[in-house]
Amino acid sequence: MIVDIKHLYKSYESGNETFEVLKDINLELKDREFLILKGVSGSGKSTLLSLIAGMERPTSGKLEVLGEPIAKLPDLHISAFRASKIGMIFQHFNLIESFSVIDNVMLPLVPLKIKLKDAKEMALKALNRLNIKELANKDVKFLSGGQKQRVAIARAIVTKPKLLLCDEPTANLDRANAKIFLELIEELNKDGISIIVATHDNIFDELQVKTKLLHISQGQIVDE
Amino acid sequence: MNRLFLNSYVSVYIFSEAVSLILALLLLYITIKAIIKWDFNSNSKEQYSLEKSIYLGSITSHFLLIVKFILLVYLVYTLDAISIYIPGAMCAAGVVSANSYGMAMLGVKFITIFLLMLYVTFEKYDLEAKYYPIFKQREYILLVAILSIFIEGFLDYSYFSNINLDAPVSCCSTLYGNLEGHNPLPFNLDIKSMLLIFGLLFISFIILLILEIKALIFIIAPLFVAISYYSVVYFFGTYIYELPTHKCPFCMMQKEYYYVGYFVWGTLFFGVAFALIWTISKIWLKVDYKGIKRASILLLTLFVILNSSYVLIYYLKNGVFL
Repeated sequence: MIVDIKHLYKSYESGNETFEVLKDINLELKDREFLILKGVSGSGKSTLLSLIAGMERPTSGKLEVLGEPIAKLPDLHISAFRASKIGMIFQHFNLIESFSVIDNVMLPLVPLKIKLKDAKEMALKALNRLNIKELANKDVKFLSGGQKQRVAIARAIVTKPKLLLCDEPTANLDRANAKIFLELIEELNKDGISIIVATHDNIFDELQVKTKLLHISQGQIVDE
Repeated sequence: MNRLFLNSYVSVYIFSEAVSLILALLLLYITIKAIIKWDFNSNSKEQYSLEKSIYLGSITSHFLLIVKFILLVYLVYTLDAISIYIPGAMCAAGVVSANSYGMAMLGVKFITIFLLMLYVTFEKYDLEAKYYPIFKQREYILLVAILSIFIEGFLDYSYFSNINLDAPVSCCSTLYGNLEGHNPLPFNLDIKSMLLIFGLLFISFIILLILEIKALIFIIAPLFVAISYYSVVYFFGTYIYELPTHKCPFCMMQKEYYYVGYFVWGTLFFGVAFALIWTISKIWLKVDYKGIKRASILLLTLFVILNSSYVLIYYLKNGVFL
């Protein structure tokens, strides 16, 4: 099992008020599965991704990723786990604009203490896979949205993760680039990476691979 | 209220200690809750909430360790600074001996710092081990450290409120001097025998650490602390002061002696504390913190070199020993 969630709750407190963001979430993701979490803005899908990535801790409930109780581990283990096992792609790409493409892609390898020479080789391989090897030494600030998205994917897969989390990955792309993105993650899924995409974009209906679809509304999974 | 509390050094010290007591109270609440309710396998709201509190407790305990160390240094400085208000006192030695709480207060402060250091080491092991295998054990150590902080608080207040500013106290010469032919050294030792034992214990301590003969380290450590104390006060200190009659563990922490006393006692305390923490970790956790052992050997060696260098430099400068 890649992700195993049972009766998961997440709430935030502000003064005397409690905001329940996620309510009684139950979810399973098996090896090589492709899950699409659909919902409008504020429905709680990004929070769910953050919890699965171990960037936040739940209020209650079981949350296991790759067999590890990720929400309960000490911080240093969560960071190490995320760095080696989980890739992430964000809506705004979250690249460091003043760094070159290859430096951005090499960044996730730093906490894994991989030698610089090996890290460079791994980064070039990832860039090659996304057909942007020629951009390696270019500064990110000079890239188009579509190119930035590819760099973000290269950075997400450079550590060869078992699980890829994508938060609104097509929100900043035009339709043509969004379709290219779909093709790329389909390939990654076929290569054995389990994928969860949180989106409200209908373009994901066009995916060719078998997907599992969950609708999330007001913090609850409403249908499958 | 004792007029001493109006002194700026004392009031800053008491205020800081009061803040650390409040933090210790918070820590006590978290620690007791953790000991009673901790269940790593539970996914309940209470457990997640407790894990958050533990994080706060961890930061608080690390902060307290730093604060307690700084406050110990500051206390010694304060005791020296207020010696001018206490009749008869020439340095912190006289001030500490102003009532029976003084030495106990200092002793408990060293114990608190040691316990907090031990807790931090156990916590490091626990966090690195992923699933908190020694969680409750480490919390019990923290509980003892917190109790030590409360005892400290009681002794701090008792000590400062019971200093009589009108009653004369003894100066360091009276307290530590060789009065009326009385030998202040334990077991009626003479200086040469004491130095021989000091050297032998130091070498034994280092060898035991290198060969990792753990049980004997617990025996050697307190003996080495005791013999070091007497050796510094009754032999090495006289070379720091360059005066054979000046025997005091506190004066060397004054500006006139370049505050060297802080390094002398600091290297001894941390050298021995690290040795004990390494030994306890090795026996209890079955883990070999080589860095801690190396730090201990380095600090103990520095302690001996620092003290011996004063004797050597005096001899090279003057051609004679004191």
